[in-house]
Amino acid sequence: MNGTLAGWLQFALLFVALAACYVPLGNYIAHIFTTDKDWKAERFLYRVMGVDPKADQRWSVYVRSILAFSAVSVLFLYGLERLQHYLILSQHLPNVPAVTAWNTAASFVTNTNWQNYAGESTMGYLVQMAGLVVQQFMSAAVGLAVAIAMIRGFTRSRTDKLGNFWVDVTRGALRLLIPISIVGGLVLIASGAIENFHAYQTVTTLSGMHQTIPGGPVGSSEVIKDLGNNGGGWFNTNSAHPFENPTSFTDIFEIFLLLLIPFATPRAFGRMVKDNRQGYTLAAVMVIIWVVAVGGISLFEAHTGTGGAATKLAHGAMEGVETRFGRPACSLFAASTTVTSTGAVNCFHDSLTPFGGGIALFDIALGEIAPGGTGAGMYGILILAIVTVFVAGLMVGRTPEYIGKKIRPVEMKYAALYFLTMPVLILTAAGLSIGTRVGQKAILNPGPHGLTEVVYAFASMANNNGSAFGGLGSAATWYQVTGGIVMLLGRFAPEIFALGLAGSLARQQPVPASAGTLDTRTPLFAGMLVAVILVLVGLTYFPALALGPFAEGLH
Amino acid sequence: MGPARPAFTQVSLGCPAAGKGAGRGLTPGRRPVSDLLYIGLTIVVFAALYLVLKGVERFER
Repeated sequence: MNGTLAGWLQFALLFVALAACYVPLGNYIAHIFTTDKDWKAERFLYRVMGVDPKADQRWSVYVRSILAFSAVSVLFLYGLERLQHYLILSQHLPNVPAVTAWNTAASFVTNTNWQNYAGESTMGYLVQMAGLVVQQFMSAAVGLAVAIAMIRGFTRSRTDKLGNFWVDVTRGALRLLIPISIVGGLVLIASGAIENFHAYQTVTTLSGMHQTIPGGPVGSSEVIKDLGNNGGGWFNTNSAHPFENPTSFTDIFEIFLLLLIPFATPRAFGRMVKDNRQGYTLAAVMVIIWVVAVGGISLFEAHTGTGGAATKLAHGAMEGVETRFGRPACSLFAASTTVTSTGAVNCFHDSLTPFGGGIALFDIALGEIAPGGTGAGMYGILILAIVTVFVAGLMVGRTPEYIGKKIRPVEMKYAALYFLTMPVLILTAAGLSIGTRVGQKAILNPGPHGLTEVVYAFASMANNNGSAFGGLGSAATWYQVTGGIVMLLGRFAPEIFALGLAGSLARQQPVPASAGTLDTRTPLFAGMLVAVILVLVGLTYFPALALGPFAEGLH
Repeated sequence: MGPARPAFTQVSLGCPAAGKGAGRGLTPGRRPVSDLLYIGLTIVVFAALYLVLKGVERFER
């Protein structure tokens, strides 16, 4: 079968599977966070934590809980990495160097999973399981908790209470992430992903050379890597490694997992605000952007006109592509991993064509909204919907209201702070790296491609994506330290503004829809939202895109 | 059974220059200093986020 046709059939299958899960999973997510009943295991955990599950928190207390939980998580993970040699299941690996340990701790707690190390030669089984995988569950649960608190800003009135962080994060992990991970993990293991505690095996190859074969409980960690939009691979080559991603079926299954929760969350939103059409509208916007991203990357990667004889014979640019999957599956994975905040890869993003790589960079720059990370996509697109309502109000004289809440200057200030955080972090860090000798030293490719690599790195870290272009020596201390800071600020500063905005909305009295209210459940609004997203992101990053991938592609 | 320190050819997809800084043992004399540095950095970053939160609360009032 033609590779491109096979790619589009895979895409169609994926689309149908995601559409089939939209209503049941979305309804289930809404149920998890609206029911009053606690599970026994949850009650036990609340007792251990000393939490009163009935005590709702003010938005700022909710934020303090997130910050405290995350700070402790960073320090715990850092300590685990630094002491791994003295712990069981270390595979005789030495302690992780301090700067790498810190960058990794910041990376996994923020749901980024940027990796400045090769997993199989740096992290023992215990650190992978008790450190990195635990954070893959918890960071996703934190993102989901923030999204739910944000939705409560619309559903509640005359209160500043947004729920209880400890309850939300516990329910998200216990009722959603763990059950799906058990099922998904079994599917991956049954399909060939390895799951063992073997010591590394040294074998003699047919040519007489020695080769070390690593092992590990990979299948059970692979599932949350994708499901939680984490992306941190057990092995250095991530989902291009046959132990992580053994077949074409597991490849499409992994893409399904990484899109599953983000695409179902708008349904949960619609359910919670008691207007499912609101959810459909946001889901439609996410789908449009995702489809365009997949189409765009596929188009450029399949283009053989400028690649020479080898490219023509291979029906596409095959450098950096896992030949088991081929170019179309690479394009689908690359688009899906960058429009979510996953960052897992099954091919080398640095080997994408300049425009294909530019689309991947643009996807990340969108800021986790189409469909974005677990929870992060939801609160991101809600803020952009608020901006769109406000812009529409200015343009056509409609009252700026969204889901029965007025969008006043105070809400717009929160939205502006939220939106400005990313460009400030990304462009400042990239500018410092390009403008200083210490940053330049690690740029291994000159010209526009080098610029793209630096901007991509910080866009990926700030937006908690975690994928990378190679060619940047990001294991240098400068990039490890600035990257860690950018990841922490890029994750938690926007969450502060999102929850502040939610608190402001929750205090309002709901306003009934009137003749002057813009209907936000229509294709017109969906189109406006897409336009606002593209214009905002396009204008913000246009100089970097023009000097990087565009200049390289047009050269 | 396994080697004390497995040697791999590092091929990076998701993580550029992976392994460059990894796999080295700790230098005993520098351990407390570097650990204190990064623990301190964690505290500083979260303190900065806390100040942002306080600023937003102030703005709210």
